[in-house]
Amino acid sequence: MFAHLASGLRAALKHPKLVALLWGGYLLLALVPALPGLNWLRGAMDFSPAAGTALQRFDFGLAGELSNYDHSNVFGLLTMTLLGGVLVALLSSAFAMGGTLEVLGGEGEARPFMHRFFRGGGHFFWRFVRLTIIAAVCLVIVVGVVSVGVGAATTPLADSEWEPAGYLAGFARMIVAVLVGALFLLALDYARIRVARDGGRSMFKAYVRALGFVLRRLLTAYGIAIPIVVMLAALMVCYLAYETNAPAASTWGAIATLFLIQQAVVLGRVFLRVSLVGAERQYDLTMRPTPAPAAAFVPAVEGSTSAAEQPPLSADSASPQG
Amino acid sequence: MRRSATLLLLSLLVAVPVLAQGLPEKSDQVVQYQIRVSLDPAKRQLTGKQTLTWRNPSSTDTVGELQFHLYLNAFKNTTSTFVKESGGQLRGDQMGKDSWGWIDIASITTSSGVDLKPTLAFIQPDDGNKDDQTVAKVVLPEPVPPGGSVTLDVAFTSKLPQVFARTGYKDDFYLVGQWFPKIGVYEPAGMRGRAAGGWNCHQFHANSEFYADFGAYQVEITAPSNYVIGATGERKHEHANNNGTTTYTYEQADIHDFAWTADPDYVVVKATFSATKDVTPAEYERTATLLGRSVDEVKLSDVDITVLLQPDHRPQAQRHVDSAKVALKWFGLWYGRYPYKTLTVVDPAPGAGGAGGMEYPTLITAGSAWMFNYWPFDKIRAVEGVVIHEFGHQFWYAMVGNNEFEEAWLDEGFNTYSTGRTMTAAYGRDTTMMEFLGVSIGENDTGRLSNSPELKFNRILSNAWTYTPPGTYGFYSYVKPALVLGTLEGFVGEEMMARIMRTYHERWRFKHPRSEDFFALVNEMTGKDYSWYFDQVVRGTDIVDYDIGSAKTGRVAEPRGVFDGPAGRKTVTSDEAGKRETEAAKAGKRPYESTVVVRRRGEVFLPVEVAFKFEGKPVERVTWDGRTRTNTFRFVRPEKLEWVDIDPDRKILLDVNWLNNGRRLTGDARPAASWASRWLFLVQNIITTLGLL
Repeated sequence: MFAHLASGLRAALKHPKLVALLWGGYLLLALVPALPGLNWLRGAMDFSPAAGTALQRFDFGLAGELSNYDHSNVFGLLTMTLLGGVLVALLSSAFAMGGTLEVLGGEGEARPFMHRFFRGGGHFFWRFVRLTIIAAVCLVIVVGVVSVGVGAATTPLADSEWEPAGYLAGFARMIVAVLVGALFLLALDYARIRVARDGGRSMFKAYVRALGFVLRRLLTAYGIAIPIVVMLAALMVCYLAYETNAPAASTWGAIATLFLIQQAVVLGRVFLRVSLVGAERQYDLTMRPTPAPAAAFVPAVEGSTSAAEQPPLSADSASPQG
Repeated sequence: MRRSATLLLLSLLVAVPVLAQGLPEKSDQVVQYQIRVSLDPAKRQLTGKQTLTWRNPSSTDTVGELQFHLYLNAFKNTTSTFVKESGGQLRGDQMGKDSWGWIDIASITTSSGVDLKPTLAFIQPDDGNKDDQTVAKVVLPEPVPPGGSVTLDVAFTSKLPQVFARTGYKDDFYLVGQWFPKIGVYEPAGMRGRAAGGWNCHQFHANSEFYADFGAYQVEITAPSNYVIGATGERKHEHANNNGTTTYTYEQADIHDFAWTADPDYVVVKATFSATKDVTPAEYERTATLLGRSVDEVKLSDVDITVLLQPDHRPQAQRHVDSAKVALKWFGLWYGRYPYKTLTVVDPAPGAGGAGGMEYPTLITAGSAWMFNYWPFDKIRAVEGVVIHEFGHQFWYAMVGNNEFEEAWLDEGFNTYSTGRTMTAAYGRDTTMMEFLGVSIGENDTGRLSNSPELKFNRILSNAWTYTPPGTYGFYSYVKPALVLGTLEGFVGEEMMARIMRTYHERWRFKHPRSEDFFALVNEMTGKDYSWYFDQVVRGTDIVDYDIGSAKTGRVAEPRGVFDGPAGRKTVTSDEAGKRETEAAKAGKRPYESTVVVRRRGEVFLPVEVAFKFEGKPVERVTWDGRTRTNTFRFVRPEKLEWVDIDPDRKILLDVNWLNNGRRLTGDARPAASWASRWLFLVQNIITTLGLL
């Protein structure tokens, strides 16, 4: 487990361009929904003497003033921005994962990095979209059913006169929901890893097989993911500690420093995610025999070659086999 | 000399009401209750007998009928006005399934034995809902003459609902409020502006609280001996019965309601508020100076504090005690000594949140949660906020007994304003609500956050159940009135406001004021007519919003064109004018013309200060009466304008938005950049999280 984890971290370290590209891409994508908010903030604050408190710590009072600024529906703007972000994120995830897996699986290939990333992203896009939808449906249904069951099972605890029992019940419900939800997300990862490696058109079958794979190897699958999640949490705690304790960002230099630290955090998040994918991919490789090539792939004639004629886009011939 | 003497006499007459105040020690006791009640936990029922003596307060009216509140009938079925209005949900709580509450009057007789039950009838003075049984009347065999009394013996049974909307049970926890037949208020002509005498006895509504006459209560409570009992007033006797129950006798005068609680699990925390140890001499001095009184006048007295705490909240015992002491100190110093000997703070059981955050005379319910024992939640001043607010109702409700049905702002709004002052004095202006993880929230912040420009469809001065939608009751009775009083403080000054509030409390302690009484007092004490203010913000619906329409500053241009003068027609070309402008600028003699248009976006007009900052000069202020929709300020002076700001001291808390109050002539992108960076970071995190799923 730790070997896979280390392998994943090494993979991310070996592909700084991939991490940087994902960070840059997500920065650009974030700007799309965030820009209206940025413009609105500038309109509200640039010429207002009252906005000066924004140069100190987070000012709840100023946030309140912003909410009523210009009699506008600020919460509507916020909601639309966040929904826009979610939409952009979901659409981009399929592409990003395709590109990531193609880059991770294509070590030693002569094709340039950018070429591999965008080919992988484009090639697997629709299949990964289908996989995401299947995973989301399964996740919602199963987590919903499990939550209802756990809720019923913990009702006596929640209704206990011993007040902490209510919190324990709530915590138990949340943990079960997260663990079950994580199961479906891990299965989504492994399904995408396998599709990228072996090809295949039936995403439902691929997802079910990946789910079976994860269910049979629950401890290892979670064991790989949990340390990454812990590192992610540590990263966010460090950021919050900085925000809480650092001098207020009142000068351009301090604002620039804050921005750079935030971007470093995002970069760290991307690095950890690539590490997780690398570790999962490595684990999958060690656990499965090399699949027979499905078909030949001719990269020179992009877009005109049918899938049936192509080998998996990421042939792992150089990878260790299980 | 004679004229001077007349003037002196007149001025004394005017001054006497203001200067010769003093705290009334006793109420004009209209009612006397003697109640014996026993709790049957198995049935969730109370069985009681009460002897009520009511005195006709009118000097002219004979009263032939009595009206009673039977509040628990609000929970009797789904057709009651309360349930219809609330939909079974109130204050974040849900009515228990099939958990009905009711009160039955088994018998009602006069002291001479005349049975009044045949005359008992339910009435619905507010909405005509014939199914509502929260108000009843009985016809007396003989009318009560002016100043006369009548004594009734009433036997009743009360079934408590599961805790919902203040009262009821949850497991072994009981909060027993609104539980006995309570007589309404007979208002003689002239009282609270009434043209003719009559009963004021409203139905129980979702959004309204209570109104009752002052009097003395003696209540004997019998409950299983394993229960810990807390109640309004002083415990005078405690007697163990031979059937596993104990009877407790409580007494309290000068109150207008009685509530009690029972729970075998309570942890009893006792403390004493010491008027000498918990208040420093400097605090007495400062308060006396602020109020213009002697130190003796503001002296407080000791109070026994009992906190009935849930076992899981033991670590919060000191927080409850400390916040009660903070409240006893500041409310007492500012408004007048807390006159009762006891204060009981009840911490409702888990799941009984509907009983929390409520006030009864000398007994308040707080409300906490286990998580507030621990970091970071212990940094949220939820316990302090609720204890101080509910205690504040001892002043604005329990002692100054306004009609909460008709003028809820007089207690909720005054108390929200006072809670803010107290929390600020104790914990700091910007950190009254919370201070952790770099985020501070002050009382004003939350109040102003609610002050939306869209909230302009109700008047503060409305019956509590008539706000539309009903959810805005909180804004119009708590938040906006606090902003109204805060803004008034901005106009009259902190010292005058403190004196107004003190005098208002003194004058109406143990009485029933109405809004006009407060308005008149403000006018009297300030010597100015503030009707224009109250008419707009209390009786009116409109909002306050000032902003800057435009602001510009630039060098004065030299005239160009064709000019007729004594020496004939002269043409000044643009080049010539430009040359002169350059020369004047070089010589430092070309002034700036600055033009600012200030606007009144809201319908409410208030006088406002407008601050102008010119380069290298101190801030200059002018006052604008704010009546016209716009006002243009023009300056021609050597310095250019840097910024302009309406209400720079932010005295007008009612202004729905302060961000548009000012304008810099040169933009500063740093504030937006600072927040935009965080905003972008948030969106990035969302996208990164979802994007890599």
